[in-house]
Amino acid sequence: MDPLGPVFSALADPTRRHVLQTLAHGDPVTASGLAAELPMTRQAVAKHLVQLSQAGLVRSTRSGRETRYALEPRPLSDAAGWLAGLGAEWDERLARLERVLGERRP
Amino acid sequence: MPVAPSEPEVRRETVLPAGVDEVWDALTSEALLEEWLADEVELEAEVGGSVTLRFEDGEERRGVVDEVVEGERLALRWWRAAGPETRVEFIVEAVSPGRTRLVVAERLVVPSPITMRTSVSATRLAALPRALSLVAAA
Repeated sequence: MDPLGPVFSALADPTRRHVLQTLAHGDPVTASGLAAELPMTRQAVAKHLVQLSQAGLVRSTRSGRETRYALEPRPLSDAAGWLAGLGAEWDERLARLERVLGERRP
Repeated sequence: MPVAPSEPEVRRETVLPAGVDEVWDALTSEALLEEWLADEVELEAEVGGSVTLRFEDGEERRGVVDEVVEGERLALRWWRAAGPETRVEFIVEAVSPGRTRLVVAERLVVPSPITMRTSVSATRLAALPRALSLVAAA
């Protein structure tokens, strides 16, 4: 199954982007730890973490009774790379189109 | 971490040195499309029409036309052999004689979750309060 869909669905929510931003700037953190840093409850954070994990954007590690979460950067850079690639393709095509139309001037 | 993209879409806009009709031709005529979009193009420029593209590197892409508003808008969905489906929309707009704005947006097609819906007719809903009061009176 294509990974981009779940990644972009996960990223569509600004709260989840905020969670990722927070994870990107620190050490692996528990759901409670995240909730303390963000304006939301632990339950809300947990729900977002599930979706982020399913999209491969977050990885979790258990140590003892604690589960800590960390950003998994690869899917994010893949998604950004995919978009950049699309943009570059269109830039090339439009440049060719412009040339083709310009050359048709009598 | 790079700024996380929020939308799976790229958008480009340009003003082309040609009139609307010429630009529309360039979007819908196979011979013209082969000069800028892909090496080989087959396109049926009508809703439901099929699209086949072959690129220089041998890549082939298939698609279907989604929307056609003559001289204004062309949208199609396409996919690579191994890759996600995306929807491409072209919007054409006259700027001045011999100058036309072209906007192109390509967006990931994300399958929407299947939602279960129970539809209750409006007349049934309207009858509900009376039915409830009858039950209460019994």
